[in-house]
Amino acid sequence: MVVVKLVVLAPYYEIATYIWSPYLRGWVAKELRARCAEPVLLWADDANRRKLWEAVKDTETYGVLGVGHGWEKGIVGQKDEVLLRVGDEITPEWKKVVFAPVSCLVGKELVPWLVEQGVPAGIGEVTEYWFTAEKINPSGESPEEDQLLKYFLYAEYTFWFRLAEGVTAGEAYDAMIAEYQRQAELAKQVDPMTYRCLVVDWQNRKFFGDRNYKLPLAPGRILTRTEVSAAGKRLPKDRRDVVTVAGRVVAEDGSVPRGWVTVRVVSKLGERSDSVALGEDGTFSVVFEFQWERNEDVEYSVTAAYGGWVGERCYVPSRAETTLTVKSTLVPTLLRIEKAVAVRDGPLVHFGVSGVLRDADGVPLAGKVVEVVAGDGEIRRTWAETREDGTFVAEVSKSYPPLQTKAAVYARFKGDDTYQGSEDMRIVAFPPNWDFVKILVAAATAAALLLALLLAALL
Amino acid sequence: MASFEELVEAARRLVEQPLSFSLESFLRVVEDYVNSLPENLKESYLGVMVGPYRKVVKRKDLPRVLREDPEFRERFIHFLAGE
Repeated sequence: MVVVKLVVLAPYYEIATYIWSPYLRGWVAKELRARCAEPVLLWADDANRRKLWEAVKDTETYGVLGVGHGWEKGIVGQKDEVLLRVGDEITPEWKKVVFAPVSCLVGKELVPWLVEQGVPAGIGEVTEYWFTAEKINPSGESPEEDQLLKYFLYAEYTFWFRLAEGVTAGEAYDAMIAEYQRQAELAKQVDPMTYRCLVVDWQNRKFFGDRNYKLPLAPGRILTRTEVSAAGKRLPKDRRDVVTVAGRVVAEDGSVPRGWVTVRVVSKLGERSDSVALGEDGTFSVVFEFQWERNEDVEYSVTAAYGGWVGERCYVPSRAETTLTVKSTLVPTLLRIEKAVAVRDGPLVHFGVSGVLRDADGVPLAGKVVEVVAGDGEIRRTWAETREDGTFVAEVSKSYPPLQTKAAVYARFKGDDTYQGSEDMRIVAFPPNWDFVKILVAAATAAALLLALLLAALL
Repeated sequence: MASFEELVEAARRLVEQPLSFSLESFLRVVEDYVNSLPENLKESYLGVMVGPYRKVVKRKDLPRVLREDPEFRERFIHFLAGE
């Protein structure tokens, strides 16, 4: 049923190919099959000129990928046998084949020349292709086996995987370059040398030919479209965000695809991923939690990648991306003054204030600082910390005019990075300054007496 | 101890000011860089896929290979210097 064939060059005869080629035989071949393309693996001694040209003659072959040492005018396979070089007679079968193995320098002359000869599209490095790696001769089942080479593998084969998913060669190339850039950023913290290699590689990895070229759609191969949306909720009391990702996979023929979706959510708080099976209606849903330290806006990048399904029919993988910003949110609070009393001591008035601080759910808030202010004119303030049950007690003193008998006191919680601020106010009554009143009365009495005596003397 | 940035800077100086910065000075920076690497990176490989000439070296062997192999040295310096 699957009739799109891709030739995978995998020579295996010295260190670079011992490092790279096992991933072509394992991971790359598996991923191509998952995308309804059949890898034609030219492994070790089969990576020779005769087998390559025979494979290209097959009317169902539409691409050449893999690896090989190269120079400006050609590329070699097993034991440095020249596979293809500028000046070869390019037979008509080549004119349906995308040519993009990983190789040094072939972007300078070989690949542009192939395109001139009628090859629809190709990718080639215009300088050397540099890489880093940890392991020789891995099993090659997953890039995760090699924590350095994985950056190159994930980036490079994005082109072929996307092409097999049905996009144009130009779109697949753009996705590959973007993935090189993304992988470079990931590698930056791990190893600057690997970062440097990735940057040099993508900057010099050039596309040639028809950006609109597509692999043909084989019978039984059904394109799909992934739709995704994400919603986030900030839980400031728990200091975490809950991100819910939901979506569906739609087949172009209206049937319901089977298979799995891998959802990945990335933010400055970290990365989470999970694979979930599609429901009977093609939908999926997954929930992630992210802990945070600071209550600030967080942007989440969400990718949902449908891995395809090969059965009686072949559903081609697809993916979708979206972003989501979860805004900082504070928990409302309620501060209540429960009791406020005042005692006059001459010009000074001493206030005693007690109250309680709770959140919007009525839960007492302990260890929070409450400011208590005696108002009118020049203010006086003090601070108290709330106890386990959210209560606080504070005293503050302030001078008032002798005849003033009431004043406002305020209690205020300014808030923090979890809780909103709140405040309360009471008008508190207190007596006038009796000492001053007595003096005033005595003075008035004396003045009246003096006035009476003066009047008596005059009369 | 030399960082990767210092290694890049040394390569640039060697390319741009060959009279004021010697190859020996560059190789000493390489040695310092290699010595500053964690063990797993010292044991890791750096490779380049050039046709008839090809090279994959363990990073801990970089100072020796750079002394012994002028072609690799030339390519490595220009890779670092960004030319």
